[in-house]
Amino acid sequence: MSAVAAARVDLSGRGARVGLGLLGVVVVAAAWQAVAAATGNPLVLPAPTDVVTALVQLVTDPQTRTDLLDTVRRVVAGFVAGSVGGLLLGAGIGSFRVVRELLNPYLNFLRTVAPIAWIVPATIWLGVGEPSILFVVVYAAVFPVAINTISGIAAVDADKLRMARAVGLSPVGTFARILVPSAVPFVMVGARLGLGLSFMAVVGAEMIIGQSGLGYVIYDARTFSNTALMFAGILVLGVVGYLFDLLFVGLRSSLFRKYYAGREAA
Amino acid sequence: MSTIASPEEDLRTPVVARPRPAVRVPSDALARAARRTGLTLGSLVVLVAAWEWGSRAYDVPFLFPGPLAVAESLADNLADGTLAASTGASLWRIVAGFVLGSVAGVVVGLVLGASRVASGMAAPFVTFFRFVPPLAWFGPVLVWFGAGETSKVLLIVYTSLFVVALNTIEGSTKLPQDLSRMAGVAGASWWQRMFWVTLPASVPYIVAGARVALGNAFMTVVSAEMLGASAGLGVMVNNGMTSTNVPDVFTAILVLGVAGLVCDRLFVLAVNTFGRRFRGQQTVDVA
Amino acid sequence: MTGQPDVQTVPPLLEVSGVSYSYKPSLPPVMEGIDLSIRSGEFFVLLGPSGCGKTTILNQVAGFEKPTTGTISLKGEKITGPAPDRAVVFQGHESLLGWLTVRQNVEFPLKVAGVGTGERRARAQKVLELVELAPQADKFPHELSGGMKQRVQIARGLVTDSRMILMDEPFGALDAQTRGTLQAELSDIWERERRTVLFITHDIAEAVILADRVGVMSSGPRAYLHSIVPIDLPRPRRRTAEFNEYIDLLEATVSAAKARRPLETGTVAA
Repeated sequence: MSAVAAARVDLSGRGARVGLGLLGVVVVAAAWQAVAAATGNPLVLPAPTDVVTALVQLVTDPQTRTDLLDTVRRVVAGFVAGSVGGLLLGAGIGSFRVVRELLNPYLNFLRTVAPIAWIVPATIWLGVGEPSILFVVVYAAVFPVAINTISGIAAVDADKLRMARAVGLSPVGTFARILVPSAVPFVMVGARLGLGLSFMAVVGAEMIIGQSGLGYVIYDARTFSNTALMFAGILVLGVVGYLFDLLFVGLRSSLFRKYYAGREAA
Repeated sequence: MSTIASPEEDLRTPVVARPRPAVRVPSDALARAARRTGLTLGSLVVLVAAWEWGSRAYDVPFLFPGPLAVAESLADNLADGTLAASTGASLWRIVAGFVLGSVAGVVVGLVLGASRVASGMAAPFVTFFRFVPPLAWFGPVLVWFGAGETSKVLLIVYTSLFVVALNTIEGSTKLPQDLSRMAGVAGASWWQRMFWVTLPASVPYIVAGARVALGNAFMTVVSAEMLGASAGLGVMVNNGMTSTNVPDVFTAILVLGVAGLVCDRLFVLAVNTFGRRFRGQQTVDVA
Repeated sequence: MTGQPDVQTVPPLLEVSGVSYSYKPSLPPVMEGIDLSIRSGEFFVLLGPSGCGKTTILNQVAGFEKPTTGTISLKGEKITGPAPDRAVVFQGHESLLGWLTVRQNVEFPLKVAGVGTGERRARAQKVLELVELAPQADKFPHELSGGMKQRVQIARGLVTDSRMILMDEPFGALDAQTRGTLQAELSDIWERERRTVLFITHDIAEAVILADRVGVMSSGPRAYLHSIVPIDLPRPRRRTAEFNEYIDLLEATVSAAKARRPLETGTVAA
């Protein structure tokens, strides 16, 4: 590092990033508080302080805390079931070229349809309740994972497959030891997308047919014009989503690290 | 919605394992296309037959309509203009929200990519908003902008903006070192560098983000309309629920899926036709 | 003798004095005590093994990096950053703008400088003909071979009236045949244009083909400029007995530099 560059404030360090981030939050919160005070109508724009109060209530009140846990439970259950299903579906379809070519258009079609649109058939078949919400969440996760798994398997390096044949690996061995490990980075991309979509789906489903959950809380807060609670719900959603994503990034750089050899860890 | 779609990951041809002959005989390509079309058509027939059989086996056509019932509903909705009006309304919202959101995303992304201070201050918000589903904003948006078109379009703007912004940041900060050095050697000003080097060099990233945004727009429009609109495919779904008209719901889903798929393919076609040179030396087609 | 102007009377264009560079203060410098002057119109080749800091020197002359100690000045003015008076030809082709045609790439520095369309066209056409790329002018970079891409970069370097052209192993990634062709062409272009060139390489034959003078560096860390060898051969340079003598001389110098001892034969006049 040259003397000139070192004399300037280094903005790329971790400390500087955290500091700037905090500064950003403070500036926005202050501006928000000022605008809220100027508006003077907490129904239109509640002050950040009101939102924090509502947030503390949301997290501490046993009733709303149950709502929060319900949403988390639904996302975890639906997402895990959906990704495992998507992985199996994708691996099965991806391993056979004919099946892949045959079914890919349908998967893409189903992936395009908003999961929330299935809430109607789901309620008709499964009733208004938990199974329908889970159906929509599973649906949200299945297709991104399946499609990316297929892409991953299709993108496996031809030389790797030739090597497998040269050393006499069986088809099952090739699948388990070559195809699936090579597809891991793709599967992770799909799963991360699926997680985001699961959050979208659960909120929508809870708003439309839910009797509990954060989506229900937000919808309910609107009905009762409790704008501060609405914002608190949004905050919690953002934080929970972020924590889940962190978990994901952590998994990728620890447990799944070896599958990323030679790739840039994006 | 939460992932940066890097061009390496999202713009990859799914079928690349097959080694291709250097010189392709045209008749060979023709035969392959014919085989593919045949396979698709064949599978379609099998699928529709299975669906019809399943519906008859379930034996409550009212709850699980077969393809014939859905086709009938499709024809009815086409004939009385409902389908055209619904599709038109939804597509308009999608296009408006997607275009506004993507443009805003590029601008935000370029600004944040260019300034360490700005990106540092905005980082918590960008990370945070990525994880708030658009529908969660349904309440505040209704309070601020009312129940009209603005609210629904804004939700789609929201769903497009962050993916595109994140990808633009990614692209504009991952400029190849030689490229940015070359701009310095040429003596480019801040604006020249931005418009003649950084922005075009970020196009592959922007496009990858925009493609995800387009998919998000198709998903968000349904929920936005389900919570209140006079026309749209989401409204068709919702009406189908209240009046238990499942064939109508299926028709709406079918049109949504097909429209989404067609838009995605058109997008890819446009990218492959006009976008090749932005991808520099890579010649990989978008799948 | 090649009939060059009497180099002793021309004041140096580029002055590198007392330059050292280390990545961190705690680490030993990559190179140190580099003193070097390059005269106007000269083709100077910096020869050395990888890791000796020769690319760092070029980057410092270009203004991409700053020396830890010492100064570099161009026409008596200290270099503080990149500027159009020093064009750069990079080793890879990432600096080419993939969305512009060959012609537009070559015109780019002129466009940045605000040169009008007509003049831009004319000047680009001239250098495109010089590097024999005129037929490919409307193609895009990804449609060209590796050698042609480097010609585009050379044309882009020539198109402005830059005082110097800096070349960082521009032919390093090319196959041997293409490299030979481009070396001969570059020598020819230089003879016609007489631009000042700083050229980095680790290839001894390349140095003999191109250079007026060759600076031989020792290996790093603490690399230093071991000696400067003038190549007094007429251009175009062919593989004559004299040519091979220079190869032998440079090989001996490179070995001596590697062992950090003076060249024993004492034949180096510079």
